[in-house]
Amino acid sequence: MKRPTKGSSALRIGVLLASASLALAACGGSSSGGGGQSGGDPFSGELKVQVYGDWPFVKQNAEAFMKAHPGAKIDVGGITNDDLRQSGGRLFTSDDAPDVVSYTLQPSLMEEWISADALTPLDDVWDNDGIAKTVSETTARIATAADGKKYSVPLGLTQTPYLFYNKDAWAAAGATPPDPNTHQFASVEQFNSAMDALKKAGKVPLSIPGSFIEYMFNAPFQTSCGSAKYQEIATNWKPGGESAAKFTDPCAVKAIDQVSTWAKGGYFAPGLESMTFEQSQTLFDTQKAGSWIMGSWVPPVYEPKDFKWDWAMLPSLGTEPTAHGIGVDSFLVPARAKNPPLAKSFISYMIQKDTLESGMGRIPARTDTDLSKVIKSQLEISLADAAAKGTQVPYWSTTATVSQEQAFAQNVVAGAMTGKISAQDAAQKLQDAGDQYRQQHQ
Amino acid sequence: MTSIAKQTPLPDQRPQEPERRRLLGSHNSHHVMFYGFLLPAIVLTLIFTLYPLIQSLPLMFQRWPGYGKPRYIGFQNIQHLFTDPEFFAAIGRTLWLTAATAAGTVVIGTALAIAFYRKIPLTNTLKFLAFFPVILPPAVYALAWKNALDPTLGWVNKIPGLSHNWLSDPDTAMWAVIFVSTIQYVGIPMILMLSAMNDIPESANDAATLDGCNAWQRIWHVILPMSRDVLVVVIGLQIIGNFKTLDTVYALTKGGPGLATDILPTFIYRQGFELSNFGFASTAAFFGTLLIVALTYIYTHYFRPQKMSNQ
Repeated sequence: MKRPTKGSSALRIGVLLASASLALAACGGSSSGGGGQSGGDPFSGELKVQVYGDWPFVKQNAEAFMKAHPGAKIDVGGITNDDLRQSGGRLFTSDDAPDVVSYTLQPSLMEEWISADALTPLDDVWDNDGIAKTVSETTARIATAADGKKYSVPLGLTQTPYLFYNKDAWAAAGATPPDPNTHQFASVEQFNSAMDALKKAGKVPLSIPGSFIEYMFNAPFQTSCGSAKYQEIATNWKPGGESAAKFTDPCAVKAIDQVSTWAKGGYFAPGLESMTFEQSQTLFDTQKAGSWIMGSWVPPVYEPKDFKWDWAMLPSLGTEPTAHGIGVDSFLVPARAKNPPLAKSFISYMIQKDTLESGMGRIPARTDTDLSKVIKSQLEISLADAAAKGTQVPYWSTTATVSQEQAFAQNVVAGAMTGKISAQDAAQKLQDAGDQYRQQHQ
Repeated sequence: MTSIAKQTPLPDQRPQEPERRRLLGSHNSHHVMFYGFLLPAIVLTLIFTLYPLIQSLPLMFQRWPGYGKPRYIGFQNIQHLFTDPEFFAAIGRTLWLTAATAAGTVVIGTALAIAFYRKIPLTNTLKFLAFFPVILPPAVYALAWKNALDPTLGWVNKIPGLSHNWLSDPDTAMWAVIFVSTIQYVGIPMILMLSAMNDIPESANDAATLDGCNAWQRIWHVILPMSRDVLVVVIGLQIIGNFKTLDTVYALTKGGPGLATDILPTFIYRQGFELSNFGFASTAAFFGTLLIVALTYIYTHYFRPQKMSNQ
């Protein structure tokens, strides 16, 4: 009998390994196994919560919840908006899905998740807790999905953008500050003069992270077009929501042109595109920048040591004053959550008036809380107070699609700096991004 | 008396011809061993390259955000791709980056190889320094340069005459990327060309010297021609490697500012992982793969290594 050679044995083993590997790879794919809904006691079991890093009150309240309900074991971890934007859908439909997750609503992503059945409806939480009676109409409208259901529970409001300015640096540069009572600039010319004065004094006029640059679009867009048309244009990407108002309308082009002018005028720090949040804060903190564009979540966690500061709205381009832009910090429950009853119980606990007043440290979505118990800094109290009196509109990045945000950064700002893209062309890019989204989702 | 040469061995001691061939190694067992050594690479290529490529083909005709059920959309992705100016612009930038980086690494690498071949002072130390960036993870190396090129804190901007927003200026960002890629990978052509030069018989150099060639003439007429085969392979490897680079560009600029450094890999990444449009990303990846296969075929067809003897 012919004995096989060592070489051909090796070949046979290799072929066997290769076939096994291919078979295993072909069998691979999405994780299987059910999400396991616990239908028992809504106050016991394990709960995995993932929230933003600047929400420390969630962990504190989780510990209080566990003391009150010893059968519950809550693990609080972190997540970022980038995580959610890039892999939220995959996370929510996987075996690793958390039970509760934080999100500042961007409707286009929410609609993607909803259409892929990645989220659990939370209408029962709204009904049981009477949430609709305790939040503003704007908040309720933002939380309502295209199918009429509610997949999020509002916790707090973020308001942006604000110009936090170094009063000492402005005075030294001879920059005229905004009205300390209304926190508004008299005109865009006053704003531009202040920026020029800061630049002349060797300061960076506006410090802002690259990924937040669309904040600069809010005020010009809303005031140039008016609040109603602004919202119409901003949401015309929605399937079935095509409107006559477009980004290419003169009012929107004017707003885009204004942002481009600011960019070309050198009002932003060098290296804007890659500037991180921490770098932008450092520029302001070290007084290299005269102003910082950021949101209402800053005052609870930051206080400059060496200078006095105040806040202002970005200037109006029209006759309408700049409105406070709001986003809604919310809780979501992924469809593959392992313990939805406990998740809903915990969310209900988090939004109770008593819980919020025990020290949430942010502007609550509920309008019936005693703000002085919730937020501590004078600056934040004045922000909340002014917002409550003014007409709030959703800020643009909570209404835009991800592709529109990218188109803005690429074409409006970068395009302005190169001089290669006109405001009209940039407007067309924004409109095209929205049209493409709508066509793909019809 | 019979001479030793004519003595025939005893029949039992001398192996028969067919058996002798088996003991020494036949052609068949040579081939078997050859493919056996190749097998792990073939298996890995099948599993991690060919299989995912084939599996992603149906995605070209679907809309899929990465979760939930894909939706069949026919040829929409292909139609969108071939009418998307950003796709063609990304390809143009990819070809530019590939050509510039390949040229830079090969020219500088070959120059370094020639210098080390001629045994300049501190050859071993300089060889190590030239090759060291190759062994670093590309993202780590790119991030180090990103910090170095930072307009406020980076050390490059403190050098007189070099103060500039290299990565934020659309006119210079791509040059900065080319520079970083070139410096990182110059060690590969350097080491391969040096190895080829060391294989050149000394007699060839001696003959050229005797014929009156100076150093430059020896390099141009002897060393480089005799290293041609390796040079062809090196250029091909650099083209293929640079065509698909993602980590360096992404770590440095993420394709920005604007789209100034947006190349095909960053375009595909953005479409898939940032815009959750895996169907469109797969379409771009497929046609990008076709392009690199075509380029590689053309290159290897026209610059096929010749069989040269080093006599």
